[in-house]
Amino acid sequence: MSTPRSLVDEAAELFREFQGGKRSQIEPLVRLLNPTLWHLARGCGLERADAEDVIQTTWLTLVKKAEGIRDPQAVLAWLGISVRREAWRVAGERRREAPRQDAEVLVQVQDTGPGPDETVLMDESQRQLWMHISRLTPRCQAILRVVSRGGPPDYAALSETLGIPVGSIGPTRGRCLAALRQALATDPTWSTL
Amino acid sequence: MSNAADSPLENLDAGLMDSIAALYDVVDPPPPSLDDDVIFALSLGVLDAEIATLTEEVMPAMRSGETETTNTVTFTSSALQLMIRTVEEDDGTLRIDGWVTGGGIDVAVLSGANARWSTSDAHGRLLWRNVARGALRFLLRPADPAERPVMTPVIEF
Repeated sequence: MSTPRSLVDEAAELFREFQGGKRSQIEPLVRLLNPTLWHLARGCGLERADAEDVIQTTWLTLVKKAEGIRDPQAVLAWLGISVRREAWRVAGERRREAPRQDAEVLVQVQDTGPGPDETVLMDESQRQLWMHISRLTPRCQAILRVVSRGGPPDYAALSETLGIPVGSIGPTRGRCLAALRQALATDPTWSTL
Repeated sequence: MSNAADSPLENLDAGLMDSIAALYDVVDPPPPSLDDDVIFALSLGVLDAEIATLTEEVMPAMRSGETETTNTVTFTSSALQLMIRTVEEDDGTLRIDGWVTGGGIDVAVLSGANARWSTSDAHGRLLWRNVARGALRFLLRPADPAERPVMTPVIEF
């Protein structure tokens, strides 16, 4: 077993090849980073349909502006920042549209919490973990949701996508994790960790 | 910075982080078609496409004694307007009638990684038949190549 490579490194390599003319490398890059972008967009409070649109728009913009991105190592941060910025714009539009509910009718409105189907898919320890995570602040939930997608070498890039100063991601994440560990530690039924 | 919560990166509980990532993939997974939809959009050369806004919807109306439902949606961009009316055919697929502001405009109905093109006639009319129900969007290529293509949001039909 080789050690898993960091998202940032793997993305940088694919993006460098893409910039160098191997255009098909955009495909593995999309597949590699979409889960992270998805959880980032959803963590920003976007509905599922809006999250899909925002992610698609972000990729289209990346391809259009690819030549201007000097450092391929920055591609994950670039995409993440773009998703977050676009998410804010869409969220603002939705707030203005809020009185006009009719425009939302065909959009599958879905809460970020698990529905009955998802709960069935969870095992016992996941249900417990979810119960404790859902009691954290929304900010902590969004941070853990995104930061858990990558390993330590990715934290700097992920913190940028979250809009957290790189220097404070450690303490911020640490506080969220500490709150979660504390909750798990006082749960007599929690035994997984 | 002596807070006990400020654990260094190395001490992060990797197992707990993995559990959190796995949990969110169960709780709120990305749509299965997300990757293919993005790759497809990139391959269509819809760069620079303007995203049209959904301006009007008429909810499906059930006619008494029939199972047929109709659904009308209107999209608007800065230069074009597209009205879509769907009718369910006997086999459960959709007949889609479209009207766009202008003739000779290529319009594709996009479903996942499928594109079906139609060109508007002199009256701006478009027609697709036997379109499978599901999440659809439309891509418009104006007759004048200098004008930007237009992409609509995805709508569930």
